[in-house]
Amino acid sequence: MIRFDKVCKSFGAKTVLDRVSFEISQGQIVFVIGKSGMGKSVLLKNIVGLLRPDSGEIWLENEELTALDELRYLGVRKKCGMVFQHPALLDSLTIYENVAFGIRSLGLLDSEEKIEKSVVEKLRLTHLGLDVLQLYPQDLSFGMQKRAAIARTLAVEPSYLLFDEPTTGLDPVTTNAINKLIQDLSRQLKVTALVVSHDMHCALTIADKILFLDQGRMIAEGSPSSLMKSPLSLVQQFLSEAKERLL
Amino acid sequence: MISKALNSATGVLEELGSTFLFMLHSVGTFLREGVSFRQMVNQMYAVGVRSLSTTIFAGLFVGAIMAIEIHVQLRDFGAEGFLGGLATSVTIRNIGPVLIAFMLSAKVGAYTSAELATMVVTEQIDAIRCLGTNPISYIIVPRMIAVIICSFLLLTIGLMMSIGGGMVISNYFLHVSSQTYIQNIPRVVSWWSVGTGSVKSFVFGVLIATIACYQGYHAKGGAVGVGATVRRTAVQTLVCIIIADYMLSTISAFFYEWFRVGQL
Repeated sequence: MIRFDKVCKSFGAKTVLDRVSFEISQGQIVFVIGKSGMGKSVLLKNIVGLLRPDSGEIWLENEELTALDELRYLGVRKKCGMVFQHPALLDSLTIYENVAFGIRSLGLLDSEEKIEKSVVEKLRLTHLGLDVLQLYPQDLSFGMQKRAAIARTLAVEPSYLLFDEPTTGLDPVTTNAINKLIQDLSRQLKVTALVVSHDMHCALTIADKILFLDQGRMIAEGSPSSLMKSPLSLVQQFLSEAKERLL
Repeated sequence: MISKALNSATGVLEELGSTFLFMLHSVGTFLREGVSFRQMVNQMYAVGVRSLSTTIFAGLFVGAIMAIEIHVQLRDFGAEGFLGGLATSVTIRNIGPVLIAFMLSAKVGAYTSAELATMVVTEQIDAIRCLGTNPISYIIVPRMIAVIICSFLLLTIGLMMSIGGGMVISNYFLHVSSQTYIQNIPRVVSWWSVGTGSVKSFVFGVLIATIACYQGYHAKGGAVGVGATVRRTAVQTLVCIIIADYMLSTISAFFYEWFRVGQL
């Protein structure tokens, strides 16, 4: 369970999150939809402690996160795997080393044999062949880098997957493949997924719940079917965009 | 106008203070968590080995320029025999470390800050934190140590090359034999000069490493942010090297006089 309670975050005079409250239940796939620069990524970064809210509370299961220091946040980061907007793979490491990075730094497995087995399994889950193991990120296409980044996040076996615009910069075919991957992983591994995206079409297809963020405020939330009837203009804009994609 | 100048001065002091605190934080992290040897060796290769040929080239020419300039002065007094000693002394104590540090700040400083800034704007640093690793320990400390060690070694190699450059140019173009050039060096160049040059080389290395790492780690924005970071790194390292050179020269001269005369 992730719960936001009246969370506020500002950068200088600009309020990015304004008393945002919502709750995500275990095992749900939840999409946060909104225009660019409306605080969607900030919302995710507040969960993993890359940013701290100015006020309000963030709960992960039974733990309140805002007061945690960097050391105690390690436990939270073990539970919450984040996939960034950029693949964010370390350029100086091979794909194998990148995927094994979290396992090693968090001390999750004690032998190289187990690490290798886990890396291979995570690459298989993200539909990447073993031929990429010794390649460097720059040797892969952008879509493959995204998959490798997801494999790296899965390697630490998180209970929560946080995706920051996972399909930005990808062609429609790869976009669909990544969206399918998010759905499959969430169902297969029984993890809770929080996806920040502009992609309403995908949200309608795979989300259990959709949250709409506008000007730092949560303006609507509900299941895809309930949001279809929403009178709000922003929701209707995104819905019509999704319909256009279908045609 | 005055308030603008005051704001600007405050900004410079704040930046200076933040850079110094960043260095202390990195030193603290190093003492607490140590350093990844593998990362450090990779960085030493990236910044050290790849800058070696440029440093040798720069060192040879710095020595040659100093020999030509000093020869013009000495020829008027018929004292060409002192060329090796004077050229080496001036090069080791002052011109050599500064010019080679300038070259290293352009190459090593720019490379380091651009690499770190790119890691920041492509969220690699955030990813490292999310995967349970302290980025200061994993990314900054190995780079700082590598840049300090490599800058010091490269400056030393550059200074040795500058002696070679001066000697070659004197032998072939200034009619001062290599033997005369070399023989004269110990008569003019004291251990004090060598020590001053070494201390300057070390301090310049620390400045390049700290400023490049601080600026890179605190980059903001996309490609424009990376460009702005590299520009700030270049300007700050050059200004700081000049100021540090002035301060170290003054301190060196003061203590030299103190030891020589035996009183304050």
